[in-house]
Amino acid sequence: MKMKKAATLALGILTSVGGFFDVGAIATSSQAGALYRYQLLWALLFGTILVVFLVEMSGRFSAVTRQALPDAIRQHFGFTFWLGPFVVLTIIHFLTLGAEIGGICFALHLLTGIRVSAWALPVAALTWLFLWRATFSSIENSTSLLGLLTLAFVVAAWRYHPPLDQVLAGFLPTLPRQDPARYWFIAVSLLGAIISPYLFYFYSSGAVEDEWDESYVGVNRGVAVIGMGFGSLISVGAIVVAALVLAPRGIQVDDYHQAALMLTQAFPFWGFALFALSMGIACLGASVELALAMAYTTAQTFGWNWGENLDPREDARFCLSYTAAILAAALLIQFGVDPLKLTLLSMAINAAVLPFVAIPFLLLMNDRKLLGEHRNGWISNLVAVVTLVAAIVLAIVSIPLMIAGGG
Amino acid sequence: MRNYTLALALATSALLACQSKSPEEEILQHSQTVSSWTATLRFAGEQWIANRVPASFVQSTAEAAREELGKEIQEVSKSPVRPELRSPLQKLMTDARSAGNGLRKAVEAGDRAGAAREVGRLVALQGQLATWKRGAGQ
Repeated sequence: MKMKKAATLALGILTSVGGFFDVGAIATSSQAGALYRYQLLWALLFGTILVVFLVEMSGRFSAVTRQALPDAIRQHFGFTFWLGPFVVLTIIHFLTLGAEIGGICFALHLLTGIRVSAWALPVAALTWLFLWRATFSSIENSTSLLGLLTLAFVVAAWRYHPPLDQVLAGFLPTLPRQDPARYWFIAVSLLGAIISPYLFYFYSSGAVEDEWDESYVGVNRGVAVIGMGFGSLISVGAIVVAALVLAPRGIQVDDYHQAALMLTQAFPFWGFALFALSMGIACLGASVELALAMAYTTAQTFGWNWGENLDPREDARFCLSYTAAILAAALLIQFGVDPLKLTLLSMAINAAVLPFVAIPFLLLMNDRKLLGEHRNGWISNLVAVVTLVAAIVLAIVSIPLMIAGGG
Repeated sequence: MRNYTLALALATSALLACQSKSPEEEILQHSQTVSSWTATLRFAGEQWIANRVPASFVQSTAEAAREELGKEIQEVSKSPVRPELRSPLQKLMTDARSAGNGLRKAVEAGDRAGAAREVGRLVALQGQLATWKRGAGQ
């Protein structure tokens, strides 16, 4: 039992590698570091605190009720209430899945020189095969292990000897000295990349797949803090590396080619390949999570059988959901949509749809009948209120900022 | 809900109002993109000469730079800014695109000396862009 609980930490690492450090984090962290050096680290810290609490809540909810979030929202608020948010979230999950598949394709383009769009369908087939053949625990373990490669950003940041006083000062919010619209757009995108709605649906459904019960509440807290902390550390590494490599040269990240040069100074002979592999693995983890989150949400919304551990014959509609999602998202890249532009669009819309996720979630977390003594305490509720206010502010500003500062 | 929508509309209008920039500010923003791509081409070239990135990467980066610089050249040609400010920038942009093409050809041919010459051109262009920006008021 203790072994099993220790193994559940892998769920946290997987969620953080896929859900925290993904194509959105690579794009927004490199842009933040390249344009504003350490000045946007506060946004990362703020987002990390919020996401630790939200992930902890979603895991606690599923451990106590043995229900995944979309399932519970539909049951408690009704199908009609949930249908609107479900449609909006499906659209944003689809765009984000396209961005992640684009990230894998770009990583393969870096390694092989073959154009990005040519990789779209082979990558879709690989992602699908991975989901079709693997069980939930094998997906967790393989992606967690490979995801450790993304620590290259932290090692690189360490090797560059960043000025610690300036890095620490970046964790305190400051106003931009130039181009405020772009500064706030990147801050909002960083938050949108960290607090991705699919993360909570994937994590709570994963807890049900792993058969968590009330005895996992403490483990869940550890998973949320360690997993999200791990993801956050990698993003800090990416911002610091961009600040030290790209900013002094005057390189801003308008294209992934510009970000690909981030590790070549720290690791002269294999930095380029390391960047491509880190990007590919982080995006593969996120693609798998997103495709699963879409299938979980769809199956739970319509009351179908679901579970990555079931034989596809037992949950055919669940499997069909992720198959269709992967194929459709890959077609975006196949038809030439720019992966970086798609990523930035997805991150800004992610921020805009947060209230759809946060409001029903927070109401459930305070339901005494459902959660009993495990319902939210005052600290969680305080963070919940901050999240809700942040979600509403983000929803209001994200789209105008995308127009004004998205460049 | 109505208040929420109203706030959204007001925020949008306020931000879009803030977004409107003078022609001089707009052309400076274009020059920033040009500087960034010039620096990218230089860095990619230097890394290829040092055997740290593959030739295919420099080629695709040069291709991306060519496309982006092409768009910037078109945008700047439409700018209502005074010609004595616009014309030197247009020349620098065209030169940057030409240096990018030269770098791509040198890398395709495996010619390190040729690549180093194009990197040198890009370094000079970076200096000229900085001078232009100072003159333009940045």
